[in-house]
Amino acid sequence: MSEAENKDEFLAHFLQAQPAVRGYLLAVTRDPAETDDLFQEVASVLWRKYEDFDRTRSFQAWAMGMARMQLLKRRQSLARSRLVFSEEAVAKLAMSAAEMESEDARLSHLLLCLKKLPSDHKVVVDFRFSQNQPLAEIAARLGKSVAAVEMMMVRIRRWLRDCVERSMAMAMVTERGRGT
Amino acid sequence: MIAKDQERLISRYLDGVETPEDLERLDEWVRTNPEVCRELILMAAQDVMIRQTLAEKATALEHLETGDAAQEERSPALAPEFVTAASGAWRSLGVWGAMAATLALAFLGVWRWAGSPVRDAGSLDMVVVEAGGDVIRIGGGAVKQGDALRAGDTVATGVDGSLRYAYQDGTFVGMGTNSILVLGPGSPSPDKAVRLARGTLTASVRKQPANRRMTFATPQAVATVLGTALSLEVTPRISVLSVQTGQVQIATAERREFVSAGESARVRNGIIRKFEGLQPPSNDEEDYVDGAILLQDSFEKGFENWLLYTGKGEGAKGDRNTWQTTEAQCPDIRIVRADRDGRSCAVAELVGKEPQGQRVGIVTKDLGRSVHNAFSMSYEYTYEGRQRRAMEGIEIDMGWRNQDPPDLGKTRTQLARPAGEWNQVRWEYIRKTAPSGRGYFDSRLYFNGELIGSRSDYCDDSTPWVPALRLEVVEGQFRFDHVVIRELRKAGDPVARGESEHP
Repeated sequence: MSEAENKDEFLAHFLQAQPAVRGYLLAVTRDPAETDDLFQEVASVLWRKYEDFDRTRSFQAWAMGMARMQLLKRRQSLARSRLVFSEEAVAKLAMSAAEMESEDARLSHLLLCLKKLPSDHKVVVDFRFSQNQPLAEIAARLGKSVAAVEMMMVRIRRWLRDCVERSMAMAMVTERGRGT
Repeated sequence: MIAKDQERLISRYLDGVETPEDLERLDEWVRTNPEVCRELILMAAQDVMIRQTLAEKATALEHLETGDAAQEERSPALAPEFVTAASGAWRSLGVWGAMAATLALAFLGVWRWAGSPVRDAGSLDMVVVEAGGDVIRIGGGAVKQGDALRAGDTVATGVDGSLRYAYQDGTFVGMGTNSILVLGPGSPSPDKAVRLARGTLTASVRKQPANRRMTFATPQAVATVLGTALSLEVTPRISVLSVQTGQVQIATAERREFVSAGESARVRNGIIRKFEGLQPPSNDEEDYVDGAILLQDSFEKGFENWLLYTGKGEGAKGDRNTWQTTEAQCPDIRIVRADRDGRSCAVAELVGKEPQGQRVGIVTKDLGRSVHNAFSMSYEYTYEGRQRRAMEGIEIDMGWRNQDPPDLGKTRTQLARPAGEWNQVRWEYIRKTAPSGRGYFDSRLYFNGELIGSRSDYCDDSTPWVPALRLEVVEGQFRFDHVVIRELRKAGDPVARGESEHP
């Protein structure tokens, strides 16, 4: 396989696995910046070791194994508060993420769902995800209790997930309609 | 489906407001409960996606504000500002840094390109004259007043969306809410042609040259006009045409009819029925149509994501609380596959001889929240091994022991396909409201395409209804091949009625 073909193949695998890897890293670290740093390291390792990758195996599972190793390597240097799970839990999460189906399709529906949020929830989403504000800060700015904002986050996450799934289901119907 | 306290704890954890006790509990759940594990990964991945989406949205808005149209066409890999907005944390790492940035850009770009037809600035065909609420071009973002539409575009309106666009000759087409319209062929073809995949449409068509008719296609028929005012409503099975002025020819593969001003026509299963008046009469039986597929899985990727649900629950209503993972109760059953992320249908394989009366589940959970009127489920199964002989030895339960009504004349045994071939079972549920206001479900059971049973079940309409489908295996083996859960809805109802369930 030529280097270009090799790179293309890697890219295809990597793009497919990326959401799961990032999700896994965020699930463990809870820090977007830390997640990005770790993700870079994982990507770098994956590319360097790609020639050793057994193509009969799942790339995502392999990538998740590497991600887990990078996490454990940095365990000492990570702030205690950022890596709270036991090693067993970290391993279980890696296994679960390895089985996660590609979430690429979700992205295209997410923007539409975000737009459908009522304005007060949009404000919370903006504070939390664009400005990375902690809940206490958001609560103070909105004049609400932390518990109330916390509950809003639960509902927003749940609703977005359901909305994306509904939207994807509708898109499937549309695709089917095109075939008729 | 995870419990609410688990969902809440995951959210608290991701927001960093959990207590040490919470963490201890979550760690244990993650170690012992694969569903919690999956939900945590899914929610974390969603958080990542929200950040990415918002970052890209900001970038797209910047592009629009600068009015740099060429920027939109430029490869994202060549747009350095995109790097900053989409992935601020990418750092320079020499050669790898460039590679990583390219990867990130490609990732963010791929899904944006996926549905976007290549734009030709010279092929301006249609202009949006009104756009309200959520209106998007599939693969191309929001549609606003003044935007150009081109052949090949697919436009969709949301629950509160509407759109009206004009052709250069003064023909106007309007889309109602929850509609999907495919534009084409357009330039360079002089014909005006649109396809309404779903929803409603109104049109005022200027007189067209005889050899350049305007056509409105639906999944069921094609309406051809020379110049008239009409409206179309399309559901997956039915198209309804109403003609306000002029005359429209509506045709299916086999038939054609002319519909004149003040008349309407309904097309279903290739049959055109004309009616006086602009709205055909409603037919309750026919009006339930297939909607979105809520879940479909052919299990080609294995069954690792499926969990087991077995139980001894009695009665449809009680099942939602009594189904549990009880593999220990079935020591002779090796469960290979079952319910995925607790939200949808399950599949299970039995190996060995099962205790009589032991039930193994196909469970649908929590569909009540996302289903608007009803849903249907179908799956196929066959026997394997020594019991490979059609349907004997298996009972299909759905909260009750199914009885084949004698008046229908056919039973499953009579309808069974030859040994070793797939049989198809399909249940349909239709949610209805009794005159008393009480909610209930009509269900129908089809076997190999024939209706063999029906039943009504009352349930508490104030709580999410969780249907549970069960197979009772007396002996033998069976294997599921694929599962499809599809929403049913009443024609004319908003497709996305569930959208109003926003918190």
